[in-house]
Amino acid sequence: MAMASGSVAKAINNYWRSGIIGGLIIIDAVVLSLCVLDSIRFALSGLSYGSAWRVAVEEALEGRSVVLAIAVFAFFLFALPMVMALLFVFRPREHWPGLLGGQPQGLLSAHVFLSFVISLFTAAAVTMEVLSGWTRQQGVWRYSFVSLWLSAVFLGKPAYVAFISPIIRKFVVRASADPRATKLKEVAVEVLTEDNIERRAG
Amino acid sequence: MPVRRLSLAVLLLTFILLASCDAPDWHPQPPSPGDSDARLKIELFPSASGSASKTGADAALKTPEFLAINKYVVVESQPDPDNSEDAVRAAIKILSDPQVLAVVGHSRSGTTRAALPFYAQAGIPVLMPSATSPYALYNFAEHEPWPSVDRLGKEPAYERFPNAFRLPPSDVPDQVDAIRATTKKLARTDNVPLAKIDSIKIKTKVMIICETTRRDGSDVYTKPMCDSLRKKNDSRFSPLIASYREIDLDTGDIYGIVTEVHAVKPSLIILVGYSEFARNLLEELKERQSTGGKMSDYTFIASEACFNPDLAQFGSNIYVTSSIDPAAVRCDTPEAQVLREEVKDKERTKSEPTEESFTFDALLILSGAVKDCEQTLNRECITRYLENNHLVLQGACQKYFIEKGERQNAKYMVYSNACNGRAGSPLQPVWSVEKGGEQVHGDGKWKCSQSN
Repeated sequence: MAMASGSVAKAINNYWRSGIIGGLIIIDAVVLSLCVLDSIRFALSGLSYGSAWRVAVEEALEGRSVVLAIAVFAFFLFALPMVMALLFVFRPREHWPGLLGGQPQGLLSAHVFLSFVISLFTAAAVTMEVLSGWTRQQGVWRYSFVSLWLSAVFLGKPAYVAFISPIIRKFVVRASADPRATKLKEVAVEVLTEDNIERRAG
Repeated sequence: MPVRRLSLAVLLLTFILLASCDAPDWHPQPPSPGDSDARLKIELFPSASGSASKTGADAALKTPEFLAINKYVVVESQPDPDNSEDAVRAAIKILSDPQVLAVVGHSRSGTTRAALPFYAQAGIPVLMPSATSPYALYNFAEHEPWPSVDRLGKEPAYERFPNAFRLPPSDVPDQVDAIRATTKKLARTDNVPLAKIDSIKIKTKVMIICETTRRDGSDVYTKPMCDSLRKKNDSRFSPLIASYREIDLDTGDIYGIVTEVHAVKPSLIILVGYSEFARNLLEELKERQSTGGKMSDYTFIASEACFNPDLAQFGSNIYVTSSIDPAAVRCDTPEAQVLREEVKDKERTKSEPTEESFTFDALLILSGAVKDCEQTLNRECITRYLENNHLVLQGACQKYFIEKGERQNAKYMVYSNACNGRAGSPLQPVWSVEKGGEQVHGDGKWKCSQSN
């Protein structure tokens, strides 16, 4: 059993490592641009951006936004490389442009750092929305300031529940029964295409 | 390899521990469109020392203006903190509540001053029904030496909080002018040739007692007035000052002040502080009457925060300067009628509304703002409404002219228990002092109603 779980860990580790590619940094940069855009929009709305950061830090010390920030950090650090590796199912890495598919040195550290910064921005975005208060427009209640990045994060929630979480669950269950025969690629394809359901139905 | 596993385990454990600290009340989901109970909040801090502002608020909730908007907003009454630390705590709680649309409060200048920066961070509009210190409205570092009052709002470092609007006039210069005018009238230096002032000052000594307790923020309220009273030269007032005394109740005691009063023997005592302090001082003076002067030897001129009927019962003549204008509720509008009925119902000892009127008017003004902002219902719109309509913010009987957060069109009233030179009647308005302090008029409705 110990050997089996060791193999699972190794398989996951290899799979995760294969997804750490230059494309991650590009995704990080796009997300950070979105965060910066949010910050500019917030400052232009007349509220103090500095205050938002200060309140975010104070509230984080009280435990507020911490879970979300950790979830975002964990997503960027663990899930995103796996999603990248998953994409290799459809187009092998060798066929990707060098900038996207390359694995230069220091890539992981840079990605960890940027993921951390993004998670901090996420906590700040939550604070910005809270500080702006609610508004009611055409009968619909929402925050006066809506962070684009935070909207994306919250949109990601159902995607995680619908796709990523079933892949992980199925992979872990199968790998603990037969680690050698279980391939994450196959599990992912199975979940995403609902292959086994169709096969059974057929 | 074990080291890598250990660091991974530590990382995961840290994540789990941090995750367990999560506070679910942060960033609540806005109500769904079908939620008919969804309402924004107006946070109200009624004065802890009396029920007047609560009565004013209760009356406002019955007005047609509020009934027209109560499907959008609800007034939530909070206990008013009596020190700056608690005020900051309350403000942080409000700041992190996206449901709050506006704040009415706080009752003290010190607590208002402490809380305002937090409300400003979230752009929450604040209507101030009773904080009158000039410092309350402006931004500056509290732990550095305070700027002089005339620099407030004029230098970039001391900008006004753009979300704050004060209903009563500022203490400096308005209340200070009223205190000066009252002193001059009582000492009879207001209309004598300047040459006679030297002879008057021998008979009529004035002592200024200024309560500057830092802990409860009294200094925010009193210091600007005391400085202005002492430093601004007025040929009919300044020569009368025989003694000036500041007291921080954490380091000084009232016993020492009473000893000093007995030594100076002032006939007029200007008391700048809160009513708790004034009551303690009067009690101590009364207790030591046998060793010093009788209570009837002293006449007190007290600042607005001493507006407390209890102070009229000590046997001294008391004159209290106050921004509460009875004319603010003597009109025949349905709103004024609602307030009068509420006061009649809840405060049976009162003949007419007094300090209820500012809280009442604050909620009326906010009702107008909410009605105007019906489409968006957000803080920015409310603040914009208050700015745009600053010339004509409609209260029960009067229109408030509030420019750059400061009330412009108000006079000060002088309330007193003195009747034919003797203390005994309840506090009632005797004079009104026009802006600038030059003109003092008798109140038309005042009747000398001696109760003993």
